[in-house]
Amino acid sequence: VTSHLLPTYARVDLAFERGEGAWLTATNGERYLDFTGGVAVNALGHAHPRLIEAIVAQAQKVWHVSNLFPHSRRREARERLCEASFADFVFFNNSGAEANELGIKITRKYHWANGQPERFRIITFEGAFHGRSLATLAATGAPKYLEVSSGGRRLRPGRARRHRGGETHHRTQHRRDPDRADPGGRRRAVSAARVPARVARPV
Amino acid sequence: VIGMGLLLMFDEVQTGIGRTGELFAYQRAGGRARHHVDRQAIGGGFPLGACLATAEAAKGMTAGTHGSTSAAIRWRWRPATPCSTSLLAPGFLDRVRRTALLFKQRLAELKDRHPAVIAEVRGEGLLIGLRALVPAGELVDALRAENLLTVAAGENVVRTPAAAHHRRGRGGGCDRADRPGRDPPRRGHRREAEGQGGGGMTGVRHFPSISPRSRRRNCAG
Repeated sequence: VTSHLLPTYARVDLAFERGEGAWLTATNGERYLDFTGGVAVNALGHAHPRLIEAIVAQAQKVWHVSNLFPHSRRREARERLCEASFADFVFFNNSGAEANELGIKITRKYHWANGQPERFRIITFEGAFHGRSLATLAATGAPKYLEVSSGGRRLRPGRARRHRGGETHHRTQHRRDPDRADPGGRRRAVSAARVPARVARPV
Repeated sequence: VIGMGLLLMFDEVQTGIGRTGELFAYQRAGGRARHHVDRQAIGGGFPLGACLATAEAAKGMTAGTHGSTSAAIRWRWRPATPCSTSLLAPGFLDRVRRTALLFKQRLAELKDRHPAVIAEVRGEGLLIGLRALVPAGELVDALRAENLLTVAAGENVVRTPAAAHHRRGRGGGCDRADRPGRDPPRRGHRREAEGQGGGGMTGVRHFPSISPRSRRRNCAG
């Protein structure tokens, strides 16, 4: 193994050490005009002085406080977004995929709240890309992701049991909540051969 | 809520926050979202996303139904404020639209000059793709050899001008690219737009010299 990076990127042999506006300076001294914009996220360019100031100023005060406590500057950003759009509520999270996940959740919660929990399937469009989390990959539906993007099943701990033929089965336990991956709502046996992993929290 | 009680959700992770010349692309499409997902660019490159919803759509979201650990980091979303200030400042989105229009015109000229390389210029605002007749990866490599960084999307599309956004915030990096010698912007030096000025023209400067090289490569390959 020449690199310990998971080999998911087709990398270019070019590294950057500085950015200003639309320009990047590579370690080889060359300057490059950056049309990639990070991954199309640097809306104001590299090293924007006001962004730097905002981050540095906050880092010197306090980094992490539970979301249970309000913060005035975040409220300001929310109000601005709502004024400029259709929205009444904003939830900040870490990435676009997470924002999409929350969108899916809100949708399902909405129908749950309306007493229609069976309305959980979401229509998406071909050719789109919605993110790299499992739910957003399922929404993307590209063939190259199908092997990882099908729905999961929840198992109640300790419900794996041995069947007559010696094959191990798990009995699924769907909690009756609206954001379950497979809201069939009924118990069913699943062959262990079809269960790639069991995810458990130790506590 | 659209027909049959469905919610309509827009994924604006790529298209939002000024990229198409409106703050959100749905405003351009005339859609009425019930809830909708925002773009990572809201953090100006800092990891930040946002989900927006109407009160009706969010009625299932009660206390305890959602949360985020890392999003509680205070400076994580601090860029959202200056970022939105800049984007919503008078004239900013107008400039994005003008730049985008000019950019598309120049790319269309480029396409006409190099019909063997570029088949189509498509997209909205500054979300522009070049459908290439050569493998996109090869065109991206050729552009990079000319010190222009682009991204391949799919087999034959090269995405271009995400960074043309920068011209106001960072003093018009794209304007400067139009100059002889390709001076990068000096730090802290803000340059106002020069009317319809050269914003977004950068790529066009680079492309003509690239394309022949790209063709040579393709022949060799």
